[in-house]
Amino acid sequence: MMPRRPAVRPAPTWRFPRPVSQQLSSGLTVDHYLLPGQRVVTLVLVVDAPLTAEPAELEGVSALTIQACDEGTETHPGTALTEALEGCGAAVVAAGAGLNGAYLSVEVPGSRLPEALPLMAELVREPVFAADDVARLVESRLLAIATAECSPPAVASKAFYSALGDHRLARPIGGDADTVARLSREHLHAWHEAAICPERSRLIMAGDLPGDAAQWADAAFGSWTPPAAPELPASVSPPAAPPRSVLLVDRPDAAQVSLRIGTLTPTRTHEDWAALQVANAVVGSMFGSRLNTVLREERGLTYGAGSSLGPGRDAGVFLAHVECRPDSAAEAVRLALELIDVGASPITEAEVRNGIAFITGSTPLRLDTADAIAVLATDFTLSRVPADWFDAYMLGVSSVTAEAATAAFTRYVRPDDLVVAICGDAASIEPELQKVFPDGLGITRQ
Amino acid sequence: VTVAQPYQVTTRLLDNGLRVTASHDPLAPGAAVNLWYDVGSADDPPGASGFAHLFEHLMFAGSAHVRDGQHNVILEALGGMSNATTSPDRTNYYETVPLGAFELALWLEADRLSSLRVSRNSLATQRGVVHEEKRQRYDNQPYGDQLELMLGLGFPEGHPYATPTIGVMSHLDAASLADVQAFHTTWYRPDNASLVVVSPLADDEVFRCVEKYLGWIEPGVPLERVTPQALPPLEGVPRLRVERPVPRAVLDLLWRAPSVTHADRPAVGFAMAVLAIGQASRLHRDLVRNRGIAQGVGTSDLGFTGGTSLVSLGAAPVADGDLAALEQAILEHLEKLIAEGPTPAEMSLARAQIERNWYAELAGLLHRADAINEAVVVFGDAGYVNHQLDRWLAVTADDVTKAAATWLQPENRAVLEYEVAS
Repeated sequence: MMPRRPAVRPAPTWRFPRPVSQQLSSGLTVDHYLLPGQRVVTLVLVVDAPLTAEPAELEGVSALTIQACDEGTETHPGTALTEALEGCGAAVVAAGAGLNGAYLSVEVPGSRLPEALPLMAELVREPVFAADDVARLVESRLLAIATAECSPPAVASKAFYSALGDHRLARPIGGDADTVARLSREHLHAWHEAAICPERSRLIMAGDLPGDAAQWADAAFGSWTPPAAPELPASVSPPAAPPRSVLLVDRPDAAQVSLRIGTLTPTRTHEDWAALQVANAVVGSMFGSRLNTVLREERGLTYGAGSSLGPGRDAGVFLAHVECRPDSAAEAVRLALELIDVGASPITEAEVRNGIAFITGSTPLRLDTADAIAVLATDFTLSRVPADWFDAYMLGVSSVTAEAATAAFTRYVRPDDLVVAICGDAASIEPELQKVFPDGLGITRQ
Repeated sequence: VTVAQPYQVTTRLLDNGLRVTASHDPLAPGAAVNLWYDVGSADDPPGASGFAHLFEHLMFAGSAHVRDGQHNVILEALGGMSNATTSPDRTNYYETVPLGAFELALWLEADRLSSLRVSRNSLATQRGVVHEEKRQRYDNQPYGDQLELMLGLGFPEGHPYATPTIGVMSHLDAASLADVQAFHTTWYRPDNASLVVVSPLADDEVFRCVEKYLGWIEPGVPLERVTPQALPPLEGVPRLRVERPVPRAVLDLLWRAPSVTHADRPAVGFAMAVLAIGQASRLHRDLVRNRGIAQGVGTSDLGFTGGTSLVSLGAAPVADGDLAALEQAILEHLEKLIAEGPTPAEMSLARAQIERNWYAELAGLLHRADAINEAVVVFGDAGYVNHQLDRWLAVTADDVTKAAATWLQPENRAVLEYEVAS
């Protein structure tokens, strides 16, 4: 017969791995994260270069420049570069930009690090940006933008960010169709010279690193000494809290209604951050959160409803999301706004206990690969947060009280001030939505 | 190429037929519990397409000691994570938990294996959730019906693999509570399951706990699972042209391919890698870079285990390009590969990429436990997780040439022309 439900022992305290830092004569800092058993090593070059440095008419140049680096170098023109890189078991697995900088990530078995590092250094240092290749990447980016326009969830997210006011966050990080279409090899060269330099960069190496990894890093990047780069503008200024707006983007063919509700919050350096994260777990990031429990598990209106609280360097973004059946759109919006209203229904002791256990218990389980550690280390670097910040944060999470979680959340996430963006078939959902928002609803038709 | 350092795997068969594999990893930050049932959407009852997947949702909808929805909630509140996936060939349920909650994860799995208690209300709710899952993942995404169209081209009507796992919504609307209980009785039993635990615990401790929580559950009556038979190659170049509101057309060429266990599968995998994986692949270099007729190329292998799988080569044209020119160019490359085979440099590159991908797949607990379960269930040997890479690295250029000639003949293709609606 069924045994009794077993007791559970608490999870042990866990620490984020401490990197060993290496300073190269070129000015580049290398952070070594030694992770035994992780045979595949992740290498990330992180470049601290804010998007405020992009010319307004060329937005997207930061992202496209780092993405074009592996299209050929002076030493290995054309596909010779990726043939060499892929031939030693390596691959560029990610390259892109954020508000405050860019990153390029390579994965390689640790045993082949000595072959991969010089190639990675080469593609960062001497990309040729051939005109044909740049034109092709521009086309790819334009196609991705056009495809996102055909995806109602992506349209809703874009509408949400567009309501964040006069700030770079309000416009797509990778640029829009007009700015991307202007980009040429000259623009990429200029950005590369201005932004991608050793003083502004950090190399993250995570995995079961060979004993001589530091020598190989030095051999590859130690002589990276380009001419002095110009000063870039200061980092992107902190955005102001956005005004209330309610947007409906009409997509008559949409099979669902995509809902985004959110606002800006403080970020991880703020004293309220741990309490905000626990509150967000309770409101939307756990399966058993308020949003998912009511909208999915009780009502069956959606496959998934939840929220995220993402940190940037200067601001965080709270964003709740629901994809729901069109005939219940107004009900889902009304319920979501209610469930986010922590002031009206304060977080309970039981909820805060669950939220704390969820964050502190699951974090080490999620960070069980070199790749996961490297992604977080990249984020810390771009946000200028030291790696030991994370342990203090986890300690802070453990001591959040129900009162503190409620107080922090209601300080920044007030239902009447939130940005609401909805994408769906306006003709069928607008009349009911007008009742939820009697003060008005801005409608964008296709 | 380095030789894979083996993972420890020890297997035991419980008296009730449950296959148990312990994989001791002193570095594991917690325990991964991974349970495969030998049932998938290929086993959907007649006229109930999508039932196996709906049933997966209902395994979270309550059992004798666990209320509806509480499986996930209980584990989350202890810092654990859990979920499940359904494929045509199997259904898997998994928990990744802090070590102190390992026994609780087993207890939760035992409760829903021994006593499913789904209410009429929960069935209606999860049916609604699955309707929205289909809309969210397929209907409301550009190119969202590509998989469904490919399956319809590759398999005859009524074949177990001809319909996507998500199924047909009107079929699900007809499902009753009696159907749910019958499905549980038929398929959800210890002798139709394989449990893998990756953890820092000693093997004996793992086996003791599994015996305690799952060893008492009775096996069912002997079960005859009918696996799909291998199909002959496609003939007559079946072709489907659809128009959809997307910004760019896409071309897919499909072939019936060796199942996951077939001796030729690694060689077909190499052929696809040489043609279309990575920037050094032939189609990328020629169609994308040299001739500038494709915006991108790609390949997929649906990885079915029963008789016949499906592989594809896909490409999107550049803005003013057309699909006919792309198809012609891809076929020329295919014919060249069949005639001349891959070069030593291409083989070396493909081996290096396959090696890294395999190590990366095993880097985290959840996916490693899943890979070990595939070794047990599909290959009949947990130790295969330590030999799978060797099997792939042993493939020669000749093997690739022969496999391409056997499986990827141009006249045995099907074609999906996914055009932009005017």
